[in-house]
Amino acid sequence: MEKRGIPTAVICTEAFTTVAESMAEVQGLPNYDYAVIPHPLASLTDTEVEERARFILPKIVSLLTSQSSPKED
Amino acid sequence: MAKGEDVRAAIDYCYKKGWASDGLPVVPPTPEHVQEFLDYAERDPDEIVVTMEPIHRKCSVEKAAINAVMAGCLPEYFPTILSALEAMEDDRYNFHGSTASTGSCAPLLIINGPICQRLGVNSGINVFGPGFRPNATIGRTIRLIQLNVFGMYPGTFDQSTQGFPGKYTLCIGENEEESPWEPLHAEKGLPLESDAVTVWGARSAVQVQQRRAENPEGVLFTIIDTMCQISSVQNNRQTAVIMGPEHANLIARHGWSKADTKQFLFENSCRPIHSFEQLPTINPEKVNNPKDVKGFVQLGQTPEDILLVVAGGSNAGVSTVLHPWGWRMSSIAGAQPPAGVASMDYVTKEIPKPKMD
Repeated sequence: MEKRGIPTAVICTEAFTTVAESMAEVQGLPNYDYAVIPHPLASLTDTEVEERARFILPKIVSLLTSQSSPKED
Repeated sequence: MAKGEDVRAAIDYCYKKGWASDGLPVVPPTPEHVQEFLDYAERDPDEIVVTMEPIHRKCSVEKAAINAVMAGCLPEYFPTILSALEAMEDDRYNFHGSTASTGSCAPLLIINGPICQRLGVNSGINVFGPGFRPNATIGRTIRLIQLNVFGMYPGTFDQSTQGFPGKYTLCIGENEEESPWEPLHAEKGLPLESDAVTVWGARSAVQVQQRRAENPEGVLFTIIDTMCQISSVQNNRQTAVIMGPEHANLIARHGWSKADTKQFLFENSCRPIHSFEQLPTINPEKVNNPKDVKGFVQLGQTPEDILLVVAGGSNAGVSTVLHPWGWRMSSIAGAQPPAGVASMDYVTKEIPKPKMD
């Protein structure tokens, strides 16, 4: 989607950062930046999901509005 | 003849290159050995047989042959491997999703037709166990291809939370000789004398012992008890029932056809809704399966969600239930599952007959 010019934010939990980075590399974007939230996700209540969403919102806004997506050091 | 130290060096070299990626030693693949497989199948070595679109990787006939050699196959096994890979290329199988998933999927291969006799595929005693070269090496080839060709290594692209021993190999023949019913490939519309391979994603295998039953219901309710674990029923699921010949013949003696048996399994594989209410973290409203008016949740949606195959020895009342990797989304009104959903369906593919010289 990003390659097609659609602003995109990838969100994954801490448990999946290795696979996220492997996938970014395969896609030819080894420094692709994405949002990371605590694990797990599937067992959360609706309220807890909303808390996670509020926590990560600034990062998502930054991913969607920045020119490119280099990883922040 | 190669000297002992040369053989050992060749095996060690394959480990060093990462090709023995399931942990077991591989047969060092020489170009001449690989060529024998290509000659047998009479296929273009560069032809692509299976792809993983999300990671932009493809497997050619030649790469499949190299892995078949490494897995320990004979050249005459190779057409079965190519047909299995072509079946996995079918979108219903979900080749990438099932290999990448936390759900620890092992590719189940079921071989039908006269090819079982020709190759010596085991369909009888110890059908899921070791001891038979086609069962051991055809299934292993599929796994080596997932690892070596597609790079689906544990911890990176393969996120299997626990894995399961079926991921070394999970390849069986149907015991057509001792089955009272039509075999799987005939049920799927292929001629009885044709050869076929069926692929499906399995999460685990549980043996069901019922040696005391005297009627079909006694056997089938015991199998249903194992089919209907909560983790399967809370989503739409297919199930593979690999029925021992003793169970199948007991049921058939009472006049039940294969379709009757599947219908009974389908109708009775359900759990009462209150069994979800006992689980504090599961909201019954979020159970993805249809609920009927009597307060039961069904496991599958149609009798075709039961993959019923006869295999094993005729020496005891034992069957095996294989729980599925994927949800059963693709059966809903024939619709394709939405992207990213872990859906799975079984796919049967005919194996071309060997050319007569």
